[in-house]
Amino acid sequence: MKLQESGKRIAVVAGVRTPFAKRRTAFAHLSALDLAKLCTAELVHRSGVAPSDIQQIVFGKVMPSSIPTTNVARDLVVSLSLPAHIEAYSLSQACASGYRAAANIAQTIAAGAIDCGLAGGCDSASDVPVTIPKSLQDALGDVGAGYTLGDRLAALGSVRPRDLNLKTTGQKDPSSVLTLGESAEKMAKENHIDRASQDSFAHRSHTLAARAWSEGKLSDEVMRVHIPPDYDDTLAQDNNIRPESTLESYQLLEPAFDPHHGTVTHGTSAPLCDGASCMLLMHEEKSAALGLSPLGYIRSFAFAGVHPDKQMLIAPAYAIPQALKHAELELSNMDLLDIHEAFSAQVISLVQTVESDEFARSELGRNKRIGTVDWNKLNVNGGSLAMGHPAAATGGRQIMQALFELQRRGGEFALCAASAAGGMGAAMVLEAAR
Amino acid sequence: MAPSTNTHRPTPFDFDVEHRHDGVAMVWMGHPEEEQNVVPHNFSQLLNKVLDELEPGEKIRAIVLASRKTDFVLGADLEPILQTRSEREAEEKARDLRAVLQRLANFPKPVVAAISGQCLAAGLEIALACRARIASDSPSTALASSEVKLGLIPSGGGTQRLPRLVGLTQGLEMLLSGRSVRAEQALAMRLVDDVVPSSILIDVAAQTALSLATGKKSLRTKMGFRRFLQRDIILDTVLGDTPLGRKVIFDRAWQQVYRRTRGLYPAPRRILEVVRTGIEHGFDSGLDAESKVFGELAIGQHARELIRLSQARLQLGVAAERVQEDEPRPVPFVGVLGAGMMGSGIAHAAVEYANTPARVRDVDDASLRYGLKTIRHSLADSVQRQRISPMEADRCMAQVTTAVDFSGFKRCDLVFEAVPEALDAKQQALRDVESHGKDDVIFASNSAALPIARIAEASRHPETVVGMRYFWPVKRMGLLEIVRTEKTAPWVLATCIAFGRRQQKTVIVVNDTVGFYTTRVLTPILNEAVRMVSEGIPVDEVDNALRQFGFAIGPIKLADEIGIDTAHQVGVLMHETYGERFVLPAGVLSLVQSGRLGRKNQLGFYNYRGRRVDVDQNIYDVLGVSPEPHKLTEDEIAWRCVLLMLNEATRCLSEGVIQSARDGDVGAVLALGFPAFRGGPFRLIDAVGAKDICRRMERMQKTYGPRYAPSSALREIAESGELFYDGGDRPAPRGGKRRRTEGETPQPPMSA
Repeated sequence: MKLQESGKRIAVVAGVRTPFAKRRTAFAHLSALDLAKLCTAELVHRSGVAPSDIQQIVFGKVMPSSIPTTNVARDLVVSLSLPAHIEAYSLSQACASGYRAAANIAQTIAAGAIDCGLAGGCDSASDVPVTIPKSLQDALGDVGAGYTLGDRLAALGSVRPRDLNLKTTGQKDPSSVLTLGESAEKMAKENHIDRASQDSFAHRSHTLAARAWSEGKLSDEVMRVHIPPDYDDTLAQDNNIRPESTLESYQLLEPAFDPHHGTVTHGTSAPLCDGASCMLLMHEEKSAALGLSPLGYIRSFAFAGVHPDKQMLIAPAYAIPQALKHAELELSNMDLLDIHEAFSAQVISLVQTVESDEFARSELGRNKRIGTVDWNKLNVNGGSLAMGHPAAATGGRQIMQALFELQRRGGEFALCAASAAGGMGAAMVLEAAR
Repeated sequence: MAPSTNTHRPTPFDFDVEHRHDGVAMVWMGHPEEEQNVVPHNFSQLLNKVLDELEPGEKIRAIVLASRKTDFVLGADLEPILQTRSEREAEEKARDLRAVLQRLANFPKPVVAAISGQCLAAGLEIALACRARIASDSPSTALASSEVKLGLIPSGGGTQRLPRLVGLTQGLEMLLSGRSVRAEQALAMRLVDDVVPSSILIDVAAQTALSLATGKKSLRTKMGFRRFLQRDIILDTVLGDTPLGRKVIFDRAWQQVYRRTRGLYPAPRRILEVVRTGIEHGFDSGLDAESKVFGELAIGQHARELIRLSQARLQLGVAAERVQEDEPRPVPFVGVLGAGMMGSGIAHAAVEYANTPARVRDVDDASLRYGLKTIRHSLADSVQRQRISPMEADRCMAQVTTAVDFSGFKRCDLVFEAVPEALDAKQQALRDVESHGKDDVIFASNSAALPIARIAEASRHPETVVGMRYFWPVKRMGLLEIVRTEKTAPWVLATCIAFGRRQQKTVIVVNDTVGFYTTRVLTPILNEAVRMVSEGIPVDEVDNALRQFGFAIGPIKLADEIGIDTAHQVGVLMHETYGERFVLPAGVLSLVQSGRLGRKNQLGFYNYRGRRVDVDQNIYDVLGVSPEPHKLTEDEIAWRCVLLMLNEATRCLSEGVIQSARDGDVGAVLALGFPAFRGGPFRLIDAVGAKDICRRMERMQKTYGPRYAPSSALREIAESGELFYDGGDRPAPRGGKRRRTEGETPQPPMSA
């Protein structure tokens, strides 16, 4: 969608995220909603915008959780005592949820329905409930529905020992025969991405992220979380980053998805984490009228899909040219690129594809490649491999990280992109505040 | 029990009968001109008249008693009680109420109470006299037998009906503590027969009344297993039926009461007696005993002081509004600097009581975590007391955010400062707030003694600088002392008063001076108490003497709680300012230097390291004395402290620091634990007689030195024979006459 015309840009007025925590560590006892509450309350306090100005809240949440909620966005409104008139809904577009939430608010603002909204995402990998096998679930359902004691006993009698095999909800994508990991493995093989380049990309991500933290670059966008309910500890930084790791240590890891011929390891895959992020979006004119100084603007965005049986994670290669076209810009105009690092193999595949004339001709119907990727502009402060990936919170992290970095280096445009399970991809062009 | 706001006119109260087509007569309580239902002195005549009308009506099968106001009944009008001059007269009044409620209880047509909102004291007695009680599930519904808090006893049969209805243990607990019970708990203890949404309250009450009219005996249906498991119920079941068992219950209750009141408050003891009489000699003997005891208590000094104090608190609300010369501005967000005991207490009061989000700032994560923990504990405590639900507690907690920088302060309208008591720290906080905050942000200092004007010297706009002094623990202490300087703008004062009242504090407004009012009258007590210890009087003798006098906490223990270093620091400032009468006791400095800081590092005059808190016997070595027990009588010890406080209070009044004796009295009771039944420093002077106080002081002056010289204000009033309160009930106008007007220069603080 095109947003840059006639003062229609969408201002990102403020944004904040929690640090991202490895599964079952600092945030082990918090739900996705708890994380969203912490981060949204902080944003509302920091932004200086009156809560009554907020008209809509859209929150992404992907992973199942133990909290009995069907609409985490509305729970935020109620549990944070925000004005009850705020309309709120939740969505899932897997790893692209953060983009979708921001895009929905942006679209609604562009359509003139609202002029201020809050977009965010939250997920907890620690809080994924243990599920029971379908056969046991059916049997217990029948026990509850039985009219007579006989019915109930009969239903209970149908339970077999193998039905008692409990497990956490898997990451297997029901739309494909492949898991995400297997899909990355497929990309590595088909695109001939060797183990060494995957390892060095992961090492690069950790090194850059560690450097960004040590230089204090991320402390404006990441809040310090004093961990409820006991408040005995504080998490101030992402705790998945390995600042001391050496390239050799990545080479020692076993392949994770194909033990015999695989090259994708846990070191080159983004770990699912606990975290939340949110941003306050506003009509450019409204933000100016309130005298706010935005972090930057959303200039355009696009979403695309491929069949998941193909290279499921390549979809951003279709979304990126569309977003650039809406923005009336070329890849070469970009001062920054931020690509969600689900796997080393996936990022490298995407870069290859963007730079491929063949792909441009056969898939996009254009005679020339999308562009050339300047590695000095790509994920300059690290990405999901190092920081971790709390599914719906990642989009917000990328957008904020890119906007703050644009400010720091005085750049003008940034391109953010992410691939998502189910064969989807998102791309967004950002513009620095001027 | 709340008194009417107007003390002269009898409270208008009326019954309004409405006949429903199903044969139920609705008796609505409430007068169109009054906001609340308060039981008037002629209540029995009014109710008798209604009952006379309803008794013969053939079409009327049952009756529902309900309120037209938000609350059921807030209690009885207290003014007639204050005006009662003899025991007999008070007893007669009690007998009237009791007789009409007895008639209600035995009325041929069943009467059911439909309770929504507060049902307190006499209101609860009315409800208890009904055949059944249906309550609304609204969060504001609360039932309490609150007479004990005013030094009184129920006078309409409550002492007899309540234990019979809910069991001896729970009945005694309610009668002796005056605690409020919310709807759900009232149902669990069968104080009410059903709890329903307020939309169907009247209909359910009517149906209940009709089914009682058709002969159904009892509404008690399900007695759940959970109810059976309640400890009190088990106690009652096991012990309540035998004389020996009842003795156990009464003895236990008495021990609890004694521990809490040290025998200083007669009402709880008398309530126990009356309940016991009723159980051992029958309902009617119990009622007789109740009326008689009510008569005795109602004209006693304790009840009168407690009633006056509660009236003064109510009037203060009105008075505080009168001080306002401008409209308060809205305060949608507050900031708090410092996450220590005070800062977190203020933030808690903001989120729980004032429902206002708070941004708390401190220098490091550990301090912020301490603050968050403290707020969480306070909220958990409110949940336990059933003030709020766990979900509401979570919502309050979510309103607190923290920062180590000043982010988020841009939107705060009011910023509280609770940083260490040092001028440069306070001024730095002020500069920080002004450079990061809104242009017209109000800076409210929680300074204990440092004058606000001196802090405001660092300000770019001193008209928005004000003192807002809370007391520890903020959750419990009901007072907020607001300090205005010469420059404080009227809208700032109005906004602070309004916010303090939203935090459910009783607000007094004082003028700026070193130590304001509360610290000025407290410091002499602390000084003198420590001085006595350094003279060899044992710590526990000093603390016990003051507690026996009625103080909520002994002064030495209080010094430990405040922190000996902090108290010393304030003491030095006070001494510098006010001279010799604030002279510090020998040896305090050595305590601080030897690392005894009080409770905060677990060693002060008391040792907090063990499981039991005891006086640390080494304290005498540190002070270089050997303890000499029984050197002074308890009375001498108490008055040595108290006289200094009374004297300083009169200075505060004559210097115009406080605006009236009433402010001084309410302030001392609510902030400093001054014995409530003595009414406050000024009421105590009136009660003892200013002449007598002067004589005592002159005697002590000879023994202990010039700090006991009576103030000129005290001498003046002793010579003229005036009282601080004319006619005994209202503050005399003299209190207000010294209020500074604009343009007048402030008086320099007097020195001894």
